[in-house]
Amino acid sequence: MKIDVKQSVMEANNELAAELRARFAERRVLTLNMISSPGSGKTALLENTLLRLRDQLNIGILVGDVQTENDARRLAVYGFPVKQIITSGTCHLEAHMIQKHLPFVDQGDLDLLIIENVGNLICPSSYDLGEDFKVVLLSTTEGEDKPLKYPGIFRRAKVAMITKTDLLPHTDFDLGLAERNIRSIHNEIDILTLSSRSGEGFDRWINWLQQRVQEKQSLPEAAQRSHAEPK
Amino acid sequence: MHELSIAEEIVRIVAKEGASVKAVRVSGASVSVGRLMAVETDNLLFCLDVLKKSDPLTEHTIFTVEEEQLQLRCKACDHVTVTDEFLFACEACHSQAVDVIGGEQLEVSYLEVESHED
Repeated sequence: MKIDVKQSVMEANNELAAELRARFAERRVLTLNMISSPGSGKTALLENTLLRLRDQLNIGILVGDVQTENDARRLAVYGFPVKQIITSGTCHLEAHMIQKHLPFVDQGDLDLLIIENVGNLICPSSYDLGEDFKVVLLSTTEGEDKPLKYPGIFRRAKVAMITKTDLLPHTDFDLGLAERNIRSIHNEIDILTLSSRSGEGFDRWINWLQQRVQEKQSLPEAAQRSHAEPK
Repeated sequence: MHELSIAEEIVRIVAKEGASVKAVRVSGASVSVGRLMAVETDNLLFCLDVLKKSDPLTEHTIFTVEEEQLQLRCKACDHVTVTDEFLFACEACHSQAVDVIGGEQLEVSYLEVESHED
């Protein structure tokens, strides 16, 4: 006997993510889910971001890694609350791992919550964490064709950051080609280029972030819920 | 390797749905996987074959995976493009302003079950 099921495998995660999104909206916390390959510069980007926003915003950071608390230690020196999530082998964060840390989000009166996902371009892209936006990073020491190889994350991200631009003179990375490849997957994406070492391009990124935080704080709650999971 | 987490959830859904119709065993289950979900079919089937043994209902289930193609609706001309490639553009008017309307599915579509009456 054949029976129709049509049940989403992601349903349990998505239901939880919707609850998280409602909670973040209620508390007016802009939430970013940062995704990249290992070594693209997520933590360095965050270090510089925290440094620049130290006196302007309340920021909380949840940082996911398969092992070690090294990244949380690096980020804790800026005075913002940081929590390490060790996944012990799992290659991505799931909504229930974020839910466990809700008290951490609630106590801080945060303007901005940054979730640094496990370094991986594939698996994290399918798990909604209740974030407002996914942010994808691509560094100039990687191939320009990464967007074509990992279309899922470049399609779902709101902004793509090309990092390590200070290394451009030392690599064969073709910035224009990388941007065209990103746009061929997602034409409406915002593309920012920057270097955490030289500071080049950071003003635009900080400006972008501040604008999103302002929008989050001025939008009515109902409107925020409806912009979940851009396709 | 998110195939393992996905396979765990699939086996859980199949066992739960099988039990809800009082099946004595689930002989087959079909899973629909969208191209944009980056799930590797052989890897998923391997994980399913390991995990299914944990439950008597699913122990002998034969899993099949159907790929759901990428489907795009053009915001300019409304044409629907169905493609096997990751080209996010309208095949009719070449506009890149498209909405993804298919290719993100990940669901258990149907089961073949054996009950006492069979």
